[in-house]
Amino acid sequence: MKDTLAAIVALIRLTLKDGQSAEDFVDALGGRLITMARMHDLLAQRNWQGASLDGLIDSAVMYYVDAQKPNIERYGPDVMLKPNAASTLGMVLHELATNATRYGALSKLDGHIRVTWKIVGATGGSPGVQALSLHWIERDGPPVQVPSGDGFGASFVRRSVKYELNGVATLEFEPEGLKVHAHHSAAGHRGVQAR
Amino acid sequence: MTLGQAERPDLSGLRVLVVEDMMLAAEEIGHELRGCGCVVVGPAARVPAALALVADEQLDGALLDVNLAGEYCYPMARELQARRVPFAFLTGYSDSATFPPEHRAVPRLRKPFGSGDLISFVDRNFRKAA
Repeated sequence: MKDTLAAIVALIRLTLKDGQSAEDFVDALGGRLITMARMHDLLAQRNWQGASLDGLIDSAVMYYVDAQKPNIERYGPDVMLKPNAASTLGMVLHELATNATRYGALSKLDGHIRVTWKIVGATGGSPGVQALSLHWIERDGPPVQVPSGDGFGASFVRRSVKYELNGVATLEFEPEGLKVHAHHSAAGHRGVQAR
Repeated sequence: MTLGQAERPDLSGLRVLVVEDMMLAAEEIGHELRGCGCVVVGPAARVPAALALVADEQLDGALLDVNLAGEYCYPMARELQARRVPFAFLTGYSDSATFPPEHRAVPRLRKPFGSGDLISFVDRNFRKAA
């Protein structure tokens, strides 16, 4: 909890750099704080032992789900994430969903997102060591333009997966939609457990 | 609390290792330290990466988040002690009984802290003897 308060101070500063108007700032910060709070709820439900990836996706992107049509599909096995991995991925998914709503697939009526994941053996890892490989693929949104700069979202996704999960996140701005791949090995941080 | 520019101590050249598992918190600490002229070593999020920095870098002090994604920072504390590098814990715990006996006297900066708290803490604990 105290760690979270420290992170919020940093989040305010980073959001402030990113924001243009006061309203934009409040919107962006509010969205990030709400997601942070949802991650807390999710982890508290399991006594801070972890969270399921499926539940995490629900919490992080539920704002954006259209009840009338399947705009966010998901395919993957049951995965339990350790608390730190859950917090990081939750915030990453929030940034991706926000971005999709503003510029990507969710800004168009027919746009949709497919989230898929699998557990893979970590390269060079000892037997039993696993990694999570997650894809976020946007389709049928507006034609994608490669952004000239690195906004908060893209930079946050890359840096937090690297720093907090010792993993790698790649963002490919394909013309037909953004494609994100996040991969992190359980080695060293025990982030992933297959259930 | 933020200190005005005039009140900021000059910590030029002070080499401080930052070990903190949350990226945003680590970046915030780094930002504040650099603002006072410190050289930030790291930040590192995990024990092995932090131990490598302790072994390779010249350090005037180290700030250690106690709980690093479920692992305690104590291996680093022992290593720093052996090298006579001053260090301090960043922690939400206030009760010294939660720390191993050999580390109960280590200075602690309570989370959450403001930038003024951080800078005066670093100044007090790590500033090189003039």
